[in-house]
Amino acid sequence: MEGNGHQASESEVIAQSLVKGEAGQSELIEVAVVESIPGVAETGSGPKPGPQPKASSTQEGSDETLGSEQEPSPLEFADLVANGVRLAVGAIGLMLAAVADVLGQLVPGPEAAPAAGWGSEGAAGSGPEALAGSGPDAPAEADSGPAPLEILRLLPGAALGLGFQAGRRLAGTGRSINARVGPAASFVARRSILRRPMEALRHGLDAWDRLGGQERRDSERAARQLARAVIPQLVTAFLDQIDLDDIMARVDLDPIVRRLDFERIIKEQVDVNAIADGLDIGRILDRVDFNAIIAQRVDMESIVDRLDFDRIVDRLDLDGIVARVNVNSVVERVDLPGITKQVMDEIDMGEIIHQSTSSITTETIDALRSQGVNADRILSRVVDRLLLRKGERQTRLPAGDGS
Amino acid sequence: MTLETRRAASKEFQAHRAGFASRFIAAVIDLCILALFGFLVLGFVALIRFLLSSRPFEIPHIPGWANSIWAVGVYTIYFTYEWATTGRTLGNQLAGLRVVTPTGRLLPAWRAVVRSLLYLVFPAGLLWVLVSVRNASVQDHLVGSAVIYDWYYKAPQSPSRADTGDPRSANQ
Repeated sequence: MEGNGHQASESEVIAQSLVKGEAGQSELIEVAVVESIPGVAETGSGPKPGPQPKASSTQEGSDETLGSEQEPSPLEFADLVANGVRLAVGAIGLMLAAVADVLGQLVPGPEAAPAAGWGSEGAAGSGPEALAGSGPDAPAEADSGPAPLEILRLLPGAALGLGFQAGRRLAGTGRSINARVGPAASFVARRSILRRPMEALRHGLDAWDRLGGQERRDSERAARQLARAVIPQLVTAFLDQIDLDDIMARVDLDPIVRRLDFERIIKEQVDVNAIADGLDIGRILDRVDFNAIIAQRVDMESIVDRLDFDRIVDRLDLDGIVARVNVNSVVERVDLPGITKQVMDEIDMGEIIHQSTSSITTETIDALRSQGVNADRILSRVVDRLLLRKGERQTRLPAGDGS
Repeated sequence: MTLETRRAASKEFQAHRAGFASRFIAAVIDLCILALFGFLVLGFVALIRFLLSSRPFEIPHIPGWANSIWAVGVYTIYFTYEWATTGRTLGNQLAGLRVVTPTGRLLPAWRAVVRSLLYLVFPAGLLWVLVSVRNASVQDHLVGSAVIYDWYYKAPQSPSRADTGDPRSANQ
């Protein structure tokens, strides 16, 4: 009883504010649009018509109360009717605005510009603002004389105003009925006389609710399947119509590149090993002209100057290298007879043999002569001693002999 | 003794009169060469006879007188020619000797002939070298010649008139 009473009182406050026009038309349209969107309507929990802080906080309290209530109340029904009316009126207004826009484009003339301007704003979803501005603009345009097209252009705003006014009246009527009949209806509803019919009604509604939920899920699944099938084709068709070269020509890539942290991207995102595994190094090397690179760009002199050949040679396993060399094949490929002939042509073997043999012969003969001299001296001494001869023999030729 | 020290020592006695041993070795070598030459000539004659006739190959038998004439002639020509032209025979060449006048010049031809004949007639005259103060043989005294160590070849000079005068003055 307390919940229903609190809810009724809050609903009355909202209804009164709506009737008194405290809420702007723009907010009304926003509520209608939000409730027309299924996702947004599900996140929201009931009408939020109050644009003012006080009304909004009060409405939040009523939402919590409504969330805990199982049975529908007449006030919710009244709000639902009011919202449905606003939604229908908004949709009709949009349709009329679109029709007026089309007519404005089909009938050229000095009047077409304001008509197109109104229609474009309405199509963009700012209908209430256009509606609010249509009032002061209408007298100014009437000064230049009314025309059928102008009258037609005023029809959407007039229809919206009429619809909203009718909705306010209908909501006010529902609330007044609820205020008078609600206590009696609550009393009757709590009686056991209506309990069984209400139970039967609830069971029936549960069945229908389950069926509706199942149908909704099937519909969503079909919609997702349709989206999966259609979206790629749409995207493909869209991309076929786009000239990426033209788009890229218009894009200034320099600031984008300057903002990119390539070092971090490469470190975190790029698998260099995978890229290296995918590279065909042999094919790349086949396309590179190493001879031209070395001949034109490499300073071999500086490279050779920096090399420490002694250290390199120390690190070489010359014995192992020599062991792997097939000396026989090397020798077979060498023109030994030709080389030998060339060497023999360059060397005067006769002179070498002559010098070597003459040197040996000279040394031998010198030794023989020296031995002969020694023998001469020994014999002379022996004979001189036997002859008791004193002094050296006069073997030297007279001075000036020329010897 | 190394080669250099031996050459340095040998320069000390260059142009000195040679002793008996060297001269005897040179004479033996010359005689061997002459004997070999004689046998070669005989062998050549035998080969010619073998090729030109149907007789078997044999050393020709030369009569004694012919053999003597042949030997004296070859000996005289050989020594005379060598001493008169170069001052040294092949034996002197190996022994490093040279036959010169007391002044160091080549022997005149007639002295060379006389000297060779004297050695042919009286070869024992060489023994006088052992007792001679100047290492001179009998033939050197008679002819006026000298045998010196001369291992380094020097262009022989032509005999001077003074050498042909008094050979004995050279051996004094």
